[in-house]
Amino acid sequence: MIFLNRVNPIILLIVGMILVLIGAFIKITTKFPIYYLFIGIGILLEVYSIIRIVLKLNIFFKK
Amino acid sequence: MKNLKVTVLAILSAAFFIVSCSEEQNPAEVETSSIALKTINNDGDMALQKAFALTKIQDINKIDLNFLKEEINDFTYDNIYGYEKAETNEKILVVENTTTDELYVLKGIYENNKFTTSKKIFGRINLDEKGTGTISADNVYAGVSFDLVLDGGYTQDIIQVGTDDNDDDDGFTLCQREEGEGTIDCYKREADEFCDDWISCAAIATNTTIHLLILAVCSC
Repeated sequence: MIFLNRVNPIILLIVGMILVLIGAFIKITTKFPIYYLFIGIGILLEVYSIIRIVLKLNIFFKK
Repeated sequence: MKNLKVTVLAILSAAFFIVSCSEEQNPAEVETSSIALKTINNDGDMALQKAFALTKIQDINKIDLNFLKEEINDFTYDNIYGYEKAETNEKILVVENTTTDELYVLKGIYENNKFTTSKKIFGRINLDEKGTGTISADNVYAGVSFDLVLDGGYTQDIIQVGTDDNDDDDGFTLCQREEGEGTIDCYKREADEFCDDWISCAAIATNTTIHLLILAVCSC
């Protein structure tokens, strides 16, 4: 988490989307269960980055 | 013989609802399918009407059957009968070859003298005189095959319904479109198949890129 805090949330969001997309591709083409890992981590990254973006915007508007 | 036909149709119709993953599937329909299977031997047509609201088409010739040439290619048949759902204009046609005990079950909408097939099942009946044996069925569009095992005659319950998703065994397959299937139909089927667990449903609901990916693999 400390490491993730240093990364720009927009980049995290893009990485999350890419991971979800890779997971979806694995699921559609092979159905190999490793797609759970990709989609799971991807969704968590997306949620985390969206929360950080919202918090940032909130601070921005408060100023 | 009539009892056999109705039994086969009822089983395959029930299989539509039980096996295929589509928006039509809900617990109530699975339940009515079970009812149909249990009561089918008492009065076949009556059970179909009760469970699926299907009524037998009295005059099959009122349907333009020219589309069959494209749908079933060189399959030779000697008997056709069908059922219809009055409210939705939905029809189920059974095209069978009584010599080889093979049949096609086509489900679709009949509008403006045109039959648009939404689901197609190819069935092979392998039953002895006592009614013991198997009925093999392949859902052509979905690529799903399954065997229905009957034991001790038509009056007995089905003791095993096995499903086998062929896609699992194929390994890597980039193009998901089945032969003769349209891109949109493929997209609908794949999107439906994708959402088979909560994590995938969450992913497809929140990522529009997955829809584009499915469309891409259905375009080739």
